[in-house]
Amino acid sequence: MMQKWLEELRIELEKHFYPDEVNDILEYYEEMIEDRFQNGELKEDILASYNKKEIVREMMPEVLSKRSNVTQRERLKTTKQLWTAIAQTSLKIPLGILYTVFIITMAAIAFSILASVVGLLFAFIVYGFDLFEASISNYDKLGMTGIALVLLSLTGLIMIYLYRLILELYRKILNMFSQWTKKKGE
Amino acid sequence: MKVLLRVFVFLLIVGVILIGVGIAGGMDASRITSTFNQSEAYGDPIHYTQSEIIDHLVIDVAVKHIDISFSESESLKLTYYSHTDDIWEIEENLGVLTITQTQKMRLLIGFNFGFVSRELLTLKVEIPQKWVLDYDLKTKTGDIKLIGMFLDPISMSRLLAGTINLESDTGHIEVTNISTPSLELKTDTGDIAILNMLVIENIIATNSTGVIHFEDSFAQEVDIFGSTGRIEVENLHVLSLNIDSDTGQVIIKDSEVESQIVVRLSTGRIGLFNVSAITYELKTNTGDVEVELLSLLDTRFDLNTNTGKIMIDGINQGDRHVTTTGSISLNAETGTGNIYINVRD
Repeated sequence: MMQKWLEELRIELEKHFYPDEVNDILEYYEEMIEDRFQNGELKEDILASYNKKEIVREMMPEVLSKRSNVTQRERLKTTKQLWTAIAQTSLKIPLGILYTVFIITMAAIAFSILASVVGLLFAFIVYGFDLFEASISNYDKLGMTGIALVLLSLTGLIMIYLYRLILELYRKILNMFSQWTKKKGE
Repeated sequence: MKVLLRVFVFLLIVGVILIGVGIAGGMDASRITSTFNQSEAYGDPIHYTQSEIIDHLVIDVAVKHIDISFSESESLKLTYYSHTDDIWEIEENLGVLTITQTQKMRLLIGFNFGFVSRELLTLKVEIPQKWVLDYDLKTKTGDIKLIGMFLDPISMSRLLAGTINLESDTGHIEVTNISTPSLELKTDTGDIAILNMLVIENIIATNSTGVIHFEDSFAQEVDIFGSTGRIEVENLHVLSLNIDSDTGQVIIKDSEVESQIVVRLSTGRIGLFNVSAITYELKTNTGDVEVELLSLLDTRFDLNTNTGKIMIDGINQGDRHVTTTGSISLNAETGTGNIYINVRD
């Protein structure tokens, strides 16, 4: 009976968490159920006292606070799930506002970097047209194209490193919010 | 991301190779510098002379600094450089000289990385000293300088002007050594400097981000509206002074205010040093208030701080201090900060 219950819990948890997170939660509950059983409670009563959806809600802040958020997929998942986790805390309004501001700021920065890269490529194309029409020698055109390419690539490289920096900052702040959510949810 | 990184590194290498090939093939080296310089798009300086006396000068330019100076000549002289994309219009009508500069909208043609010297981006106006003009000067991207002079070093009489309205979106504004009925200055992200001015009526100075600096000037009323910059006032003689700002510090030194001085800040320090007035209204939500007086006698205090302390001449008065006698009223309030009232040694 307990195996069936744990299997059902696994299915519910897998909708929200990664496999290693699911295994950790299952181990935790298995241990807790065993402890209560050792203390004389009936397994039927123990299992009936748990609500699987409630377990997901309760475990959310704990799991998010431990998630490393290294991959883009993890970051996006955490970003979405933090809304749910924040809504359960005692400071849901201030924390929610702060989190919203953070998300909007990060989105604006990411958009600015993207716009800069697109603008850069656009500028290069326009410059190419100008150069093509210019009445200068072919070597001049080659040299000028080289200058434009160097500028384009250097700026592009700066943008990439800036983007990486922003991602790292985003990850750190996500972790910070996850910790706060865990603390305020306790 | 790694692919993009490799693409840019590849482009960088290709670019360096192309420059090498270009130079080896006899590329004109001046092309490299001209890539970063738009000066070629400007021709020789253009001069315009206005001999007939006018009483109003209106300038509205897009990408230019405006530099106004005065001379003993009998005619007004304009000097500017015109970019190939500039559209200039100069018109004199019923004593009003109007100068406008706009730019053609271009999307795909004429792009370059250009940098241009300040000289090429400056509209210079030389005005005869004897002409008393109203000034309406506006530039979107550029500084405005209106530099007058002392006509008589003994009487210290300043150059005369009509009303002055100066506005710059992203540049600095400076006015110096002029006597005018009223002065209004506005900039979004630049500094404002008002030096040695004699203003018969009001001065209104507004900016968002930048320093507002007043020095050695006279006026009836002065209204200063800032947002996130610093406000510095030194040796100002006025009937009333009103300062309203969001974030920044306000420092007023060695000044005379005949009636009231009002300073309202959201976040920042207020400092008054050797400033006389009949009524002081000083309020900041977050920041210290420091007032240095010549004497505490005849001053009626109403001081209040929520989370700080009140120190009068070095003595702690707690967080609230009210006195009821004295003809000079000093009201100061801060939410988070201390209030210091000191006597000048």
